[in-house]
Amino acid sequence: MAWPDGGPERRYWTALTVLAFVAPAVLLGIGLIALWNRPATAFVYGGVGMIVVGYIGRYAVVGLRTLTIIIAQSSPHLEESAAAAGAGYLRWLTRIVAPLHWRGVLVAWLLALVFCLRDFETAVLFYPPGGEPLTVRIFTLEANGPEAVVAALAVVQTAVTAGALAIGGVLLRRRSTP
Amino acid sequence: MKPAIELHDVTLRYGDSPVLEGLSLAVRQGEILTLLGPSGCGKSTVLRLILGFMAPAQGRVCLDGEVVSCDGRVLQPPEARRLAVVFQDLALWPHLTVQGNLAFGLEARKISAQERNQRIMHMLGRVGLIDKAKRYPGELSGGERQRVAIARALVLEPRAVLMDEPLANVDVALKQELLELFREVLRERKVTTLYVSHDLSEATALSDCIAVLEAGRLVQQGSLDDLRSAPASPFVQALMNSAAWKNIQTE
Repeated sequence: MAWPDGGPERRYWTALTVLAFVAPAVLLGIGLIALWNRPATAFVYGGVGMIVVGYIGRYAVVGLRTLTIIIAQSSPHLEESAAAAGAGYLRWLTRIVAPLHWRGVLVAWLLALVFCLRDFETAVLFYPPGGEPLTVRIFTLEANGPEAVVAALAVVQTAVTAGALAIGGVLLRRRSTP
Repeated sequence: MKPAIELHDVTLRYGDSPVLEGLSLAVRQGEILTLLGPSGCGKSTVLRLILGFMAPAQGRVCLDGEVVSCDGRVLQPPEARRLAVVFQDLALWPHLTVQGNLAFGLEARKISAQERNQRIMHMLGRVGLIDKAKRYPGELSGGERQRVAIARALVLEPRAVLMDEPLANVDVALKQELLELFREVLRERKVTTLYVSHDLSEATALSDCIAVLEAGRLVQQGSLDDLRSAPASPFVQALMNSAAWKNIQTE
């Protein structure tokens, strides 16, 4: 394929994302703190953005590998025809890959989202004051909070995940072009 | 005049297996050349080298005299080569209409909307699909899809069209009809064409010149008469003696 192969550097990126996923979350968390807890990046480290960075670092591999497998199943000639027709990377990505594989993109996104929504161990090390994810909130309340509140938050957590999957399911059932 | 496509002493290996060995080939401006050879002899690899999806380990690829790949490096990316390709599976983009398929490359090449529409309608008219412009590839017959594929390639007015066995999966009657159409549209536009096939009847129907590739080596290049009068290898001899060729001669 023209662009998807990308070259040998792609293998290193893949290995790095796999490592971030399989390594203990504490290890990744400490690494991210060491990297981002600096004056120059304090605006990220001190806010919710840091949780997003952590989630991307840990779960990017889930979405990327899913998407790679889905794209690899289609004919490489679809991409090669686009390149030969004069399309640059961005045009190829937005006009061919995304519309052609929108279901794959959605599935990859949903998978990664489910992992992020249920994550506790990554965010617990660096969530900002007042910006803790629901999983962390449930964990801290579990120790000394009212049981009813903990139960209610657990229901909310489950409902959010189920809701995202339900919306995804509806979109996936939409009819494609003939 | 410099050849439209030129390969100089090109060598390529997959691991330890040689795919192309010292291949030199030239396609003149406006010429239709068929690269003929058995399956697995490296025909499609030649197209991929010209398109820029891979680089020769040794040797160089030139377009209009300009070196675009050499010695393991792609110097000009595929999108900048102003080529067009028709693959065996046609590779029509299923989520775009016929018009969308033709418009895609023109948009990429920054052709104005007015000229784009003009060229698309003219080309669709030429291949007899003007009434199918809003259809999706999945709604067309096999023959119509072939027409869209050739129209999509030619509407770009490329410096050359590369065709990789586009008629391999087509029945005999339809193949004849499409060969006639290909010949007409390619000749009236004087488009340089490199047509890859293992079928002598397709080569005969279309080309000005035939190059025979065997195990990654060019064994002979010339007109049909050249091949017939002085076959350069047992393979070419066998090809000329084949029942298919005798049938063509009879016809």
